Amino acid sequence: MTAQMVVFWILAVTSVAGALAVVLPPFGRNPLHAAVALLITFTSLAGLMVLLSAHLVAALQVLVYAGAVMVLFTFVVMLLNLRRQDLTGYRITAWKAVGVAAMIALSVKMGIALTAGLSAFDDPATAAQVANDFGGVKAVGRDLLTTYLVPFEATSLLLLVAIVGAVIVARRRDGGAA
Amino acid sequence: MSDLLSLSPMLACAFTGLLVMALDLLTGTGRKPFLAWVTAAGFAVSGALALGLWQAPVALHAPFLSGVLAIDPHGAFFTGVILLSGVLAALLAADYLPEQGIDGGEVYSLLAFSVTGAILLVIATDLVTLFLGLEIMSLALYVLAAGKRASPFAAEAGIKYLLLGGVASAFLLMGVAFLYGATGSLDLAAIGRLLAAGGPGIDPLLVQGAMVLLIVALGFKVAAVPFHFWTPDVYEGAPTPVTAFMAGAVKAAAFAVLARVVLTLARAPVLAGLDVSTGDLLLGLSVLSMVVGNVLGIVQDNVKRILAYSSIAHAGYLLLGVWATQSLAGAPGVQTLNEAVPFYLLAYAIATVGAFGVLALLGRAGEEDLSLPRIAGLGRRHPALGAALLVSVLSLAGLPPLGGFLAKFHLFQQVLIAAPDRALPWVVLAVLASVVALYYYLRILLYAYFREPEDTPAQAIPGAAGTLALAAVVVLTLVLGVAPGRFLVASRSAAQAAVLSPSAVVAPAPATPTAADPSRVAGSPPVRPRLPEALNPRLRPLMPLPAPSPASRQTLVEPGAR
Repeated sequence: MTAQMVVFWILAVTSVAGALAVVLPPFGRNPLHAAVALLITFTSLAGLMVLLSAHLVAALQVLVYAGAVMVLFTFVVMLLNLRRQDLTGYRITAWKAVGVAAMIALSVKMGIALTAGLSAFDDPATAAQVANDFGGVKAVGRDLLTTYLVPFEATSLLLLVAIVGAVIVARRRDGGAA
Repeated sequence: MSDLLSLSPMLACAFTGLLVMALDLLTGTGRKPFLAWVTAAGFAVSGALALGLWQAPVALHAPFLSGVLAIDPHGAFFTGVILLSGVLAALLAADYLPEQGIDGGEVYSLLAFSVTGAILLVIATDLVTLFLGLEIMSLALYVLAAGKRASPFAAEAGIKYLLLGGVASAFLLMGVAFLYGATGSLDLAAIGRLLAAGGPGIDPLLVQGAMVLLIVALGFKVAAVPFHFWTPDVYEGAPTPVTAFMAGAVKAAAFAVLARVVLTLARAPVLAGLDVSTGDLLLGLSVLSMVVGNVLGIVQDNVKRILAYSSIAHAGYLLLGVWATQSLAGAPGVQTLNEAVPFYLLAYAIATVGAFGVLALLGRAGEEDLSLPRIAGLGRRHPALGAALLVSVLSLAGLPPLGGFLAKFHLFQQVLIAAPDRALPWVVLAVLASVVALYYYLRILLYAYFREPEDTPAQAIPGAAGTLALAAVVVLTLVLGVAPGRFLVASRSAAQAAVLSPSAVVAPAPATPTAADPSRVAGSPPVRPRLPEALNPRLRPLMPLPAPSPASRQTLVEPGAR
């Protein structure tokens, strides 16, 4: 087992464990604890991306998700000012059980599909491509502005709609200015 | 330059959104309905550009456009349906919003952005662009759905739509990731070719997983059972013109992309090894939607909810149409999309926008409890609105001589012609479901025409814009029912362009002037099938069908032809 594999397994376990802790009790009962558990997942994912040679995406993962999004979550949780009695009342219903069962079945299926399908990473051609500035700022930027120009531009419209929408939803109920 | 021209319908909509946003700042309170006319005019310009492209197609040249967007009859047809719904929704909103105390121009700019996203969705052939189009369309709608601040249902509608839509987007993204993992490409046409050719490098589990994930995600957007739970609540809680837009344009766009993605992928030999084939999956969704939609429609009392369940049931009929192709149902005559599906979506979109439009114009003075007793006597109190409701609802029910009848007849007939042996029980079920649906459609009309009005009947909003929109609905529904020739031809060429991979098209498109557009994979020469057909186990021998004639009406009057 190479050092890379050891790091991979550590990160893989922490990311899945963090994700489970977000939704499951005891951490899932408290929004702030859940947010911290989510932070563990985000950071582990960033580590996994480094292992995949996606350095830019890893940096963005830390900056945007583990940084900005997490601060936003924490602010919202604190502004909501939840009391302890608001957080009780966690019941297991039949629907939730069905949902959990379906989720487990789907995860197992997807895991089987992925492990079977990703033999391409052992390919020497892939390794040669990865060596060639793969995942760096320059390579991603070049792709973004040539091959993926249309999605890049469409994203600007998506962000505009998101900003306008957020302002409208957040506006006061009497229809006054934001 | 010609690339800009090709994209002009979408760019015109995006520009309309920005223009309306700027004008909104300059317009004082109470004068916002003016913006609805600007929006409608922008959509009309965009529609004219789309029509021009349909008549004289321009190929895409820029390297970053080929394989990403395709200006083909399929995209152009659905662009038209989306823009038509958009114009009607904008005009209805001009009368509805001030009455509801929603005095904001942002509704119109968001509507324009949503239309832009929908157009991007139907012309995208690259999976990332497709996802972005879907998100632009949906994100604007999440906000629009929560537009009625005074109503307690509005927040529920917005949140429910946002959360479930987010889950559906996650499924779509995961499906795209699986496809990329299996083929190493995001270009749908290239993926279709790779999968159709088969090969040792393609992992069947990944492709099968991708197919299921994509069907779940798009099934949510078209409101098919069992992914329909959001539909009645969101349709009820959203402002009625927005509901009209969702039921018309969003369903049309989602079906366009569902047909394109599923049919392009479905020819993959690796999918044959699935326990439940893709065709059976779609058929199951279709049957469930028809049965559940119509049965639950019977027990509703709110007209908006009745129409929501009607929209679910129509998704069922349409899925049956998407299913009846060679790759999914083993129908030898239909290589691409069934030619009746685009026409059905056009007729359905117009009728459902009309029905919701009448309800929008009944939303007097902030209150909008549209239970059946409140529309009692509508036919006598407001004869014009009553007539529009009559035409729209009868068209949804599928009674002659309206567009909905012809669409339904054409669809069921084409499904039967395509797969005579397999489709018969399901078409019988669909006809029975339509008969059940008559009960709740006629119940609406019974209340509107034969019941005495109660104490506080719903009052109509007087307004020129809404009246104009409803008049257009009535005229178009009648035209589609009485003189559909041109639209049927357009529907056929749209359907023939639906499947992206050129190797799928065995029979050439009919030589109509509107269909002369080989520019679908602009910039790249048409790719021949890699395998001779005889070697491909998925392609059955072609039945000797008569060559498709441009005058599709001929097929309509020979039901015994099979």
